[in-house]
Amino acid sequence: MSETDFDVQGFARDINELLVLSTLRQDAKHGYQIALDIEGDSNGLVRFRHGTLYPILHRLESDGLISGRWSRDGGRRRKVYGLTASGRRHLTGETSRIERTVEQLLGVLRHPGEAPA
Amino acid sequence: MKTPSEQRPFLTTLRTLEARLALPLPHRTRLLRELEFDLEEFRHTLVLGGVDAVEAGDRAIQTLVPEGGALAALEAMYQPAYRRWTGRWSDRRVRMLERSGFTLAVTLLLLVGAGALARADLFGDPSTFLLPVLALGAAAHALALWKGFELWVRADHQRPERGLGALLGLCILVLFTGIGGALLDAWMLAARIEADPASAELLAIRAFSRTAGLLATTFVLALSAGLAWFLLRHWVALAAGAHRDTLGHHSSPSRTGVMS
Repeated sequence: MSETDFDVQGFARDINELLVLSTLRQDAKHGYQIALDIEGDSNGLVRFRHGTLYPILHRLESDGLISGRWSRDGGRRRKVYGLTASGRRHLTGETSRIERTVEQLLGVLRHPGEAPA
Repeated sequence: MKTPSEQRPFLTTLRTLEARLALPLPHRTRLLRELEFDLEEFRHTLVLGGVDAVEAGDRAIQTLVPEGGALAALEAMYQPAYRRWTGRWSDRRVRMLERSGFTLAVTLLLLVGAGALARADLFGDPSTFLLPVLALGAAAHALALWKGFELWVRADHQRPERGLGALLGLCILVLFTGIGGALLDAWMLAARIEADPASAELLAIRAFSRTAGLLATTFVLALSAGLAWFLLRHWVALAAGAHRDTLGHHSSPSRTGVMS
């Protein structure tokens, strides 16, 4: 997303992806843990609904930002996701970009009519 | 001992979702497996936190089971390259292109095969049964080619096992026709030698050449089509078997025809 061409849907998607990446910063996790942790860390502000988590996880995996690994527990197969080096770099860079965008938006909200310095 | 519904409490949810999930078979199975584990663990975590089991199950479904936009996003993500490429055209045009491409591929296959046979000088004095063997072999290879295209290029997995029985049947028919033809040729040779014992040596040499050509062609065609059948059957058995297990269908076919 270009900083001069603000796209609300793209911004929301980017935020969701960054939330997933940031929750994997410490440990590898299963999908349900990611959903619960994001909900818990945001005090219920962010809740994934209707399986929206899976397209995000699978897209991040296909982009190589996270890696999914299958393991077997008893007879059951489970998938665990971990952050890749590329995902870690992406998280750092995109977090800074989101910060700048949010600051710009807050500037508009707090001081309408004033052009940014 | 736990009942099946206690062991796999989200099976009905998975089966309902499966009917709406238009993903190629291996991706569909993997997503359903991942989802089932997550649903169970999500519910378990909520129950440990003091939430009622039924409410926890409902929340797990509401949070994790893909609906509308999520389903569409997953379908777009796993859409085979071929479908993305042909998506801009009407179904009628795609079908026409597929048929034309298939006809072209089979024609090329036949030309290459005919060239190889001509170089081996099998058409000089062929057995009567060579043509039926070639026709059946060509049909078997054309079917194998189409099935491979359907499973691996178009990723149409609604009925993955469809056509595999016919392919095996054609392989067997090639063998029966070739071997039966060789036996009949031998029987006819015996009758000719009986009628004209003076030419026995010449007749035997010609018959040997014909029979060798017929049997070699039979075995090459039957084996290569049989190998194609084995690979296709193996892939389908693995993919459909895993899918059946995921949905808890151990013998009965799926409502959507996936396992039929």
